[in-house]
Amino acid sequence: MKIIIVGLGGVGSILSSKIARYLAYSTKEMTTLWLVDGDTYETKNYERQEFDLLGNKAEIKAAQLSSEFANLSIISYKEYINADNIFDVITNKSIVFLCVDNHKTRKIVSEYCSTLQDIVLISGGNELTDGNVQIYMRKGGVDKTPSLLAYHPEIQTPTDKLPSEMSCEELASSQPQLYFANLGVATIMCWAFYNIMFSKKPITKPEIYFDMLTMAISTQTRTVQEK
Amino acid sequence: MRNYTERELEKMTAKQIKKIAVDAGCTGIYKMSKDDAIEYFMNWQEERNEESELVDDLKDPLAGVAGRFKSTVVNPEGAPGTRVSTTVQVSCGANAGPFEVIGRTIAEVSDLLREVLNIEASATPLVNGRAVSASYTLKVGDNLEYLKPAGRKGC
Repeated sequence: MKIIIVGLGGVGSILSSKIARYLAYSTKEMTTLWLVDGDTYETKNYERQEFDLLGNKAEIKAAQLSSEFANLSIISYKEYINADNIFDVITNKSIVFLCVDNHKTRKIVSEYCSTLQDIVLISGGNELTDGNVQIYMRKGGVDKTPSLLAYHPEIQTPTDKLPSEMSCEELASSQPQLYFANLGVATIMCWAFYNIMFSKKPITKPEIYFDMLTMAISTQTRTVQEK
Repeated sequence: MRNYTERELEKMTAKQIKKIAVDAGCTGIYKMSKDDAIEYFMNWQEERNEESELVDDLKDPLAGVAGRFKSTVVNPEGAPGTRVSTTVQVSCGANAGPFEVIGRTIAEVSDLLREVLNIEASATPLVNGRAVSASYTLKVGDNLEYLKPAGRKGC
């Protein structure tokens, strides 16, 4: 089994530890965990992100998890994912956790996954106090749930930029986020993973929303539209 | 016909599973491996149970009414036609609930529930999964979702 976590910020840095612990102690399947991020962990990230050293996020998280879970095979990929390198990272029959902060990357990854035969893509994102998780699954070359783009025009036609396209000023001036919102997304992504791995029921509600302020969580029915 | 659990099936041989499946009317399982046969038969049982529920629904005196809806007795002693209130499930993101909005247009519902469900002006209304205009009038059995944009951040 190949599991890939793309983006190791507020969501991905939390999620990677939980997934690694689960894989190390709760499954017998041989797993390779890929950690993908071109970004650097800095002191400004202390508030929301879980690392033990400063440096490239993929590299230091891989080192941290390798020392904690020696039986896991962990690979770090120290670049932002984009249309040119996605082939190197995401391969058929992978499980991909997408924890990025822009819709442009979500579109690239979702469109690439739609060319693969068998793939599971779990994508999460949040605003200040709410967020959502989407599950995109393909089996035998057929969409079992809608792609990330199907119900979301803001991902279909993104107005934001890739991290590699942003200036230092743009990167530094990101919107405020809450650790608790990141934690909520990471937790729901873990639930989605568990359901996909162990539930025999087809997933008919592959989009999950939560709202911290109303303390609500709900799932939404999504159907694959015929092309 | 009873339902078999996954654990029960795992204890059987592939041949036994296929025999049970075929006897139950589940076809197309003959050439599958044991694991695939279990998954296929579990899904088949699930679908059969859902169909069974639908048949049960049809025994209901309101069987002629299309779709599913929720109704609440609000005035048990009232005149016929005033005793029951029927609601539509309305949601926006994580916030959802049954509301008495049958016969109202989407535009009216948007105004009514904007603050309750935190509906953004840009949210697209979907009825039973399809985009509708602001003039659409809600009917019994409809499910209204104001499509909330995906969360952007996470890094």
